[in-house]
Amino acid sequence: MKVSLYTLKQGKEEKHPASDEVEENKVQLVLCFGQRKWLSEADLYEKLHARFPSARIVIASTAGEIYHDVVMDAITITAIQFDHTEIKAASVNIGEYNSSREAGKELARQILAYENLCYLLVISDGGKVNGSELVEGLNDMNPHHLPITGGLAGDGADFIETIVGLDQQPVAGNIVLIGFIGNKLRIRHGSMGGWEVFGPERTVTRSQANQLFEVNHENALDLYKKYLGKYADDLPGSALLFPLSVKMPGQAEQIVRTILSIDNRTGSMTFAGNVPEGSSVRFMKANFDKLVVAASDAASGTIRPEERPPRFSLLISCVGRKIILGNRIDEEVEAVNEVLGPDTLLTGFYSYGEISPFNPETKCELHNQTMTITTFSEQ
Amino acid sequence: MEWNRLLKRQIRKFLHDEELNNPRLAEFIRTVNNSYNGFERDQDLAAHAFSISEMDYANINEKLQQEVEIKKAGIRELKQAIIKISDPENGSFPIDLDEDNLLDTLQYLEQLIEKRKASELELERSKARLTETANRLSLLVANLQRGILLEDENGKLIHTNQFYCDIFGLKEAPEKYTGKDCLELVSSTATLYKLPHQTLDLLVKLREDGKLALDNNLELADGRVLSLDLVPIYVNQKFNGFLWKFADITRELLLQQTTRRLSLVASANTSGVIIADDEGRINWCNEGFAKITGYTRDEILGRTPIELCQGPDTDKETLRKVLEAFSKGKDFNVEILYYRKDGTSFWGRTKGQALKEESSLYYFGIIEDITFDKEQEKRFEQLSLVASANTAGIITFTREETVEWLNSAYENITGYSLNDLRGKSPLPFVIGPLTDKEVMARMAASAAQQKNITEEFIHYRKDGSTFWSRVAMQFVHDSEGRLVQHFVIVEDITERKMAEKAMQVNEEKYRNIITNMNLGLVEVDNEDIIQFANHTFCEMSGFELQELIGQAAAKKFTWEKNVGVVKGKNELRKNGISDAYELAVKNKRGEIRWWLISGAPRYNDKGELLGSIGIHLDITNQKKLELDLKEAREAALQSASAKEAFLTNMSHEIRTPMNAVLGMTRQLMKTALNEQQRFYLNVINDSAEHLLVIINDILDISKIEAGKLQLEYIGFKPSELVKHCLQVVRHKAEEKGLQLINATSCDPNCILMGDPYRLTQVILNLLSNAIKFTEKGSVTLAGAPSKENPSNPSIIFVVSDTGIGMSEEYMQHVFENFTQEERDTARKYGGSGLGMAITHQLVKLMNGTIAVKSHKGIGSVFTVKIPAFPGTEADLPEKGKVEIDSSILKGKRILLAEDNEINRLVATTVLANVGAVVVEVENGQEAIRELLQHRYDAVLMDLQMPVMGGLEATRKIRSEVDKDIPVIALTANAIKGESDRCREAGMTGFVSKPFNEAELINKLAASISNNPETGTTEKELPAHTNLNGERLYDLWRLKQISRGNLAFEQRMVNLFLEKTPEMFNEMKLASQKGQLETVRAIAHKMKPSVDNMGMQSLLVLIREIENKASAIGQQKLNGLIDQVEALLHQVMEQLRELDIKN
Repeated sequence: MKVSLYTLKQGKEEKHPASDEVEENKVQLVLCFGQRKWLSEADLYEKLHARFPSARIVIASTAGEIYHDVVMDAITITAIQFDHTEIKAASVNIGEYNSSREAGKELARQILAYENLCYLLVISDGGKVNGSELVEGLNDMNPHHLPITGGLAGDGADFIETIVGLDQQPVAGNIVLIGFIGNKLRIRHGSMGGWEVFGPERTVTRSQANQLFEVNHENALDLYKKYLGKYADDLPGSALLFPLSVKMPGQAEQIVRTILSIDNRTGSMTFAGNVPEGSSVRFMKANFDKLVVAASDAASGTIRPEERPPRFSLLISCVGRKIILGNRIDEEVEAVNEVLGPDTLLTGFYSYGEISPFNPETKCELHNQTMTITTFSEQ
Repeated sequence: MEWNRLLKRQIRKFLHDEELNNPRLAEFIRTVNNSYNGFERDQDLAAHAFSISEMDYANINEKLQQEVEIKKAGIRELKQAIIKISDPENGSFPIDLDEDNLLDTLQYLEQLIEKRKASELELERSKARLTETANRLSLLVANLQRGILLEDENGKLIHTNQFYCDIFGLKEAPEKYTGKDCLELVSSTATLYKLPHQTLDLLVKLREDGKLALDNNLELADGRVLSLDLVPIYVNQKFNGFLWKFADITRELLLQQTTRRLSLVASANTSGVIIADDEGRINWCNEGFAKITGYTRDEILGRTPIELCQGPDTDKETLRKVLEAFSKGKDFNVEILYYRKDGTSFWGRTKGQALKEESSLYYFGIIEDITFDKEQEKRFEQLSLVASANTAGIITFTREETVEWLNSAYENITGYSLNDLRGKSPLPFVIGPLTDKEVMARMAASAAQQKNITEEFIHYRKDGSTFWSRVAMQFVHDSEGRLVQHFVIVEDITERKMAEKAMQVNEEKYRNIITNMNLGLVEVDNEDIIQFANHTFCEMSGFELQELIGQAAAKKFTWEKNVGVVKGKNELRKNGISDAYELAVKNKRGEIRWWLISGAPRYNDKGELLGSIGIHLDITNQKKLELDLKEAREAALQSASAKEAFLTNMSHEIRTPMNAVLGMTRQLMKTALNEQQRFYLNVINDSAEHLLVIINDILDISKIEAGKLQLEYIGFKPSELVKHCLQVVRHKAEEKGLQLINATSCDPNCILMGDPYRLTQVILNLLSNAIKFTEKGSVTLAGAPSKENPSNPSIIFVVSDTGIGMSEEYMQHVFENFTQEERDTARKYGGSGLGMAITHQLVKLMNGTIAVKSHKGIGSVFTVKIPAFPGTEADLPEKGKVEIDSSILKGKRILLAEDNEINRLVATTVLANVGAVVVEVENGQEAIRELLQHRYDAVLMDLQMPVMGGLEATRKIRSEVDKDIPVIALTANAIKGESDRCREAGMTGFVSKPFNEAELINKLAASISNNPETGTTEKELPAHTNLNGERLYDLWRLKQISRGNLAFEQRMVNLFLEKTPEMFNEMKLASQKGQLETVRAIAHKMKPSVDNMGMQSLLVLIREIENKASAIGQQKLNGLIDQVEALLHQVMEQLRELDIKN
């Protein structure tokens, strides 16, 4: 397995020194991440296709690129040439389905038809697609819990439109699922947020999709403010620092839901993911150092001391973390790099939602506010 | 910046202000400060949340405490209330007042409620039961037609009824006796009994015994008889008194007696009874006697029976016996024929009994009419005769079920004689361990009821061997139901039984076979109702057997039109016809399956049609294959016709531009070109020609494969065919430096029948191939008509070469389409890979054979053998061929009708080169108009043109303009039938596009010279040419060679002017001397320069001289030489005038 990482900044291409020498006509998979405005360049796909003629090419807009140990706003291109692994990819557009779940189902149906799959990577539109439902749809068709990781595309901190494309110029609403076939590919994944819960567990008593109105029959926003105490004055700006831990009905694991906005008029809070009624919720808090430590922990979770370090790792981190960490954002990538070591090339992006299972051999979930790491190595 | 207070302290402690101005340090501190702030915020939030939680907890705790107190109080109150109302008899329930929960209380309450409910229900029920019983009993007792006494254990009367009082004449109402001593009451009526003391004693004894005593008959003095049942009553195993039950059975007894007596009288009446005195005279007779004899009593009395009833057939001997017994006072018993008063007779069994009363003797006689018996006996005797003759064993039985008689057949079958069995029951003799016990039981049961029965069982013979018997036991009854005869018929059915068994085994075997072969078996009745289906059929159809039995088969599996098919098949079965057919059916899941059904009528053992039997094989897969195959075939056919259409189009579409490419290339070649240009042009020309070959090959093979190629059957000369073939390839062979050897031995006069064109094609293919694959050495064509088999004459051609040869393996495929030995063969040698395939197909089409022998690196030998019958001169299509000189076209007016501009350009260029004047039009209509206005020598007519096509135009020309003007068709369609259509339309000939320059010119020249109006004969040709004063030379070839070197051209012209007259004079001289060989040699020598100067007319003459010098005779030769002289003179004049530089 060979991986090359390139960046394009103001039309200048640079190849990361830790890259392998890939044979461009044998590259099977190209992951191209970048700011929406730059990706819209008319012939980006054509150029990539001309350069990597045999590759399936995935282009997705992001809220920031991870270029090995640096976070930047640019275009990154990751070209992967597997030795023993075959790539199958499919794409659907949400516009052709009644729901994100249906779209997820159809996509999974197409890819899961192949045999000897070992792993699925999903890159989805992050604006029109409801990530929670997409994940449900994928899980519906994946009873044996073949590992699925990935993320929702981003749009900087603008939240206007995200675009994704498989073997085409990226457009809004696309969902891409990539199947990896073979028994030599070893995938490890880890996902950590670094958030701590506080306050008692409460039950959601009134909500609508991702809009939360009441917990324990009390106004959710009032309660939230009460718990934030003096820090409530900084709302809504500080909301990113105080996400909600959500345990869906019947689920054991908690997931993090970022607050997108609050509405003082209706006393409601809107989250980056559904908060169904009956869910158990707790408030969460974090600080810079804990977020960075969590990224390091997520990476550690993928490491097995007896195994060679992976060749390549895909980092999908939350836009929320980027906003919170600000100019210290490099630290979380550096932390991952420290753990995985110099032999592992890092690439990835800041997303509007991370997708991965909590544990191996369980179904995948939509996360917020996490660093989600998927490592690739061929044995 | 405001540092975190903790950090601020440290900064103050460790850092100076100037150090803080270091931007890197400042950044560091800022970062640390962030972390400090973050941690502090965390701490604050945690503490804050904790305090909120504590508050919440306290609130909730307080609320809960209050609720608990309220609840506790409530429970206590409830429990106290329950204790108050609880019934101590139901057991006090341990309710703990201090316990907070209500569980014990609830349980207790529940129990109480359950108990209460149960007892209420039970009470209600038993009450109802008792009331009902009492009511019923009292009513029963009151109405009972029995006298009842019910006493208690102390002997007191509890109850009696009216009936009892009536029996014993008690006057009081029954209730009055209640409470009295029961025995006393019974004793008080004892006097009523016939035997009062004994009866009373009996009753007392019965009562003392205390046991159940039923049906004790008690006779009363007045004749009545009572039946007493004495029932001791026990309640809960405790003696509780007696029930006396008296029934009056007087009437029943009386009735019994009367009946007995009456039946005696009745039976006495059936026979005649007489009493006669010692002289035989009847002095009493009963009604019966009068009845059977027909005499009145008056007529009877005083006469003897013999007087009365003797008749002609009365047996005298019997009479004598009777009289003798009578005279001796003895009893007698005879059967004798009586005659009635009316003369009819009957058999009477007569028993005479002597009765002695004091001294006198009477006879008491009973006469029984036994006519019926007698007749039976007689009939039986006759039957016996029949029976003994019967092959079936027959035994007759006595009334006691013992053997009375058996026939010889029975003896034969069983070995038992009458002596063995007479007076015995035969059964123990003829059954044994193998005999079916159940059958025996059935027979015994039937025998007991005297019912007829027929059974089959294993019979034992006297010698212990066994056989299968069919035993019919028959009982013959008379009209009154009396048993008259009982017999048994025994048949040996071993053979049939064995056959049946064998059949059963067979049937089982076949069923197994059917099952094992996965054949579904179904039996239906005449209404198509399924009677049976085997397991395989069930599996095939998806139904359970129960779902099939009783269903209409056709309806179950087929639909609409197929129901009719099945109906038709069932009709066939009714006519006894079996057949097999395929049928689409639906199985249980509704899937369509195909079954092969083999149906046959089904009969029972009487040959009646029961329905039909069908054996089913699921052929869905085969059917699918078959359908797929059919589809594939259709698809293949479709694609074949598409291919054909494609080829027709291709033929047109490709040939037109090819025409242009080739035509223009040739024209271009005639212009001045440098070496490079010439090289390029050669490549273009070669490639285009190659392409044309391939296209033609493909068209050929397609035509052959489509069966569209039709062979000629005309006469041809093999010698000429060989000559032609060699001529065509000679140039190529020489070009490669190969020796082309003609080793054929065909008599020049030999004429064979066949298709010379196809044969030529075959030989040309083989020769071209040989030349193509031979680098050095020779290519040899051998051939001769075969004399091997005179009845099937043929011609054999052998083409051998010294070329690259073929591998053994490739030889096997050499005749297949698109094969060449090496992948690079095409690159090296060119060709479509179709040549040999076409050759092979053509040979096959001509019913010939082709064989190949080859050695790699040594060479190949192809041998073709084509059947060919000899023909005659008359079979030859045309005699001789006139050599056409293209110079005839010089100055001729040719009308070219062609819509394609390129084609027009090519044709015009070619024709202009030979000096023809070409006028172009674009369609048929214009051509006609042009022909009407101007004179033309010939028309070149394209077939496919807008406005008016070539065929239509030609027809019009022929009918309206000119019958004779040559019209040559130009066609791109190389498809068969085209030439016929051209000819039909009145065309003179046709040239296929892309046209070969020579072919076009030849065709045109030939048609013009053959046309009496425009044409000229060969001999007139030079003169005609002269008259025209046209330019007699053409320097294009010279220019080709010179490549623009004008000085060279001039030198060549000068050389010609200088040398040619010399040579000509030599020739003329030689001719005059008759040195024909010299003449020929000089002509040969002159030929190249004449050719190079483009002197076509002169060349024709020179060639003629070279070829025919020795053949045509001196005079003719002189004529030719004169013509050459004249022409040479003219052309030299013209050449001298030529200024090369212009």
